[in-house]
Amino acid sequence: MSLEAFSDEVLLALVGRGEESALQQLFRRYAGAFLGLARRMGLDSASQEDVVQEAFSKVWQNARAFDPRRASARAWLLAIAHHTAVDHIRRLEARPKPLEAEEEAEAFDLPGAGLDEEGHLNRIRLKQALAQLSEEEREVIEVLFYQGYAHQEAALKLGVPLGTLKTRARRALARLKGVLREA
Amino acid sequence: MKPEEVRELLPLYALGALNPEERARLEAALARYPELWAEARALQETAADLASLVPPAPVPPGLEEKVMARLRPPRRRGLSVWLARAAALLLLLGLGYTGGWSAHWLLALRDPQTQVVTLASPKGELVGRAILRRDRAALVLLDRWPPQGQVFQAWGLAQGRPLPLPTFRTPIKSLRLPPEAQALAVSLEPPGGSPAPTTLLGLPQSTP
Repeated sequence: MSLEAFSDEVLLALVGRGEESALQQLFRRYAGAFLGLARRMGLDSASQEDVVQEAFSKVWQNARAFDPRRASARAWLLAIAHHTAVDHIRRLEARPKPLEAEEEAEAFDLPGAGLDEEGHLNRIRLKQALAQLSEEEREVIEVLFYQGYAHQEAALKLGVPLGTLKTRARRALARLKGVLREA
Repeated sequence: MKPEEVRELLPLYALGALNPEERARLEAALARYPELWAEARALQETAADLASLVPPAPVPPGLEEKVMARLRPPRRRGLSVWLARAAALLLLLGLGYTGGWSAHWLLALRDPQTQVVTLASPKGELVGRAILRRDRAALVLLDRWPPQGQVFQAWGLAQGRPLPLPTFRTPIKSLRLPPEAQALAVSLEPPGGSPAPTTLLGLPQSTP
């Protein structure tokens, strides 16, 4: 029986039972997204691959801990990839320079890199959503999520107290949720 | 960690801004406060959008093989088709994963004490599986519908003695095993069921 038709939640339940084929199916669904995220965070090709390998090892080891009441499978999987990339960046001696939106567009639109309509629309959607945030909120998302700074470091970098950073992070996510759900 | 401290850190957690130790502490604390799950879920969904709206990168050849080669030996073998089928049925019949009946069975599959038992005919033909939870709730999954004019009936087996359990007409049935039953079987019966099995359809086999 093919696993292609199954939801991410079902596949994770099967991975939790030690089903390699279910993990393979999740790899086929998510590896490109994990790589793309690591690339956006400025990691080079070798590090992007390391992140993907480490993230899927964590998925394999921790699938039993996935609780569908606490997160969707998609959010759980992407959080594992993001945490893995963040931890990788923080271990590097020199922080990588994250791709700016324009550079990313160029990298993505190179011939042969896969010009796909959905990816293009998603990029526009994200850009438009981020444009709805205030400069300060956008900065918090960029520094914390895409550059992978820990909160104490980010507060120093942005020159704001930790409490302000927390407030901005909460407000930025609330605004984004509204904008992305509308779109 | 108190609930208000957990709540305060949730946006930073969703944005990946905690260090690994803080993250682990927050996850452990969050598990204790179901009242915060909806908020945590919403924040993580938005963070997931930030990740998934980034264009995917092409997957280099050989990466899939490297990932699969790094896995430890599988914890179980030979269940995939039936587990997948069970999962598919749950998917078809369920009300969604976040609540409801199918989520409970999906969660039960994670419990190492949950047994998945093969049901085979007296001739050895595979006819289905039963998922037995530690609280004695059971889910029977068969690969067929009953013949015209007959119904399925479940049986608890106590020292080999059949104890009549409910009848059913669909290939999936949840029921509860009586305390004295050690195993479960299925037979074909006239509508309304019987006090003793008429035609045995599925007997428990040891898990492959």
